[in-house]
Amino acid sequence: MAYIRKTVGVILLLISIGIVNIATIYHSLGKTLSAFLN
Amino acid sequence: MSKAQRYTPSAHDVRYGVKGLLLYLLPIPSLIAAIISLGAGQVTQTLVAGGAFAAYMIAASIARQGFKLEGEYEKRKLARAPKTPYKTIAALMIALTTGLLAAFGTGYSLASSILLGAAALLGFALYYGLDPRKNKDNALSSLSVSLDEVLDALEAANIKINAIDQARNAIPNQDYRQRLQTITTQARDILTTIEDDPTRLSQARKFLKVYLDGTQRVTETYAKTYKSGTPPQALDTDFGKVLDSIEQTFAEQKTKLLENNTFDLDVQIEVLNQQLKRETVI
Repeated sequence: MAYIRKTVGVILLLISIGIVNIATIYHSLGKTLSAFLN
Repeated sequence: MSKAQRYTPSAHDVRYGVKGLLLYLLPIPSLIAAIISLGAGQVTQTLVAGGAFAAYMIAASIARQGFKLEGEYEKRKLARAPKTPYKTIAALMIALTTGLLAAFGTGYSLASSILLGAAALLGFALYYGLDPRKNKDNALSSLSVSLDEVLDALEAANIKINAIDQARNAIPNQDYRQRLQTITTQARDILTTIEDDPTRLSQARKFLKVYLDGTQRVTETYAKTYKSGTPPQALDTDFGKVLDSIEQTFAEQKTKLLENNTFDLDVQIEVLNQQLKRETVI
């Protein structure tokens, strides 16, 4: 039971913090590129 | 002025290794994003990503403090619940940072940002758990002593043991240092015994007080004489005799305590007390 709880927990952490942080890089790169192209 | 010191449970130092490492690693992309934005001269994006990274790092450090306290709590049979809920604070900080970063650093919608923040909170709670909120005092349920009473007595005893250890370091005589170390180790064993079975506290209270007070006083006085030069031979001999008595009496007391022999314990303590008073060291 504890194993399942921990697995679900770590997946949620990876998805939430991981995705938001990687998306931040893309967002920053996108802004940088659009500023460069303009 | 009170000489009370904060209790630092050196005998219960907890190793909690790399627990929480994930909390330091996952936000690294926001640091990279902050550097990219800084290079491109985007002030707002730099502040958002950089601020989020800083908040994640602070939250991870707070969480580590929580893990350490939880480790100490888990290791002890008697313990108070941590006063400050570090893990809960860290979980809320991480959830808030994730939500704000999603909303202002990546352009997610408000609903998505709230959902991501909630997922981070739930993930933390499931993976690391939240702070223990209940005092561990099951062993006291049938006793008249309270958890505070037992823990205060143990803390006071531990402070005295630490003081003996500190005074011991100022004594250059290797033999005495070794013997004092044995004494403090045994004293810590006694504290563990009381922690295991708090019914022994009432029997051990007088013993711990007289024994530890006496040993602390004698050791500190003897250590002080070294600061003003080598102590006279007579004092040296007296200290050796006192240590003999303490070592011997202590071993007997420990056995008696484990056998719950209160009467013998009191008699032995009285004998030791008289001897401590008689010796010229104190």
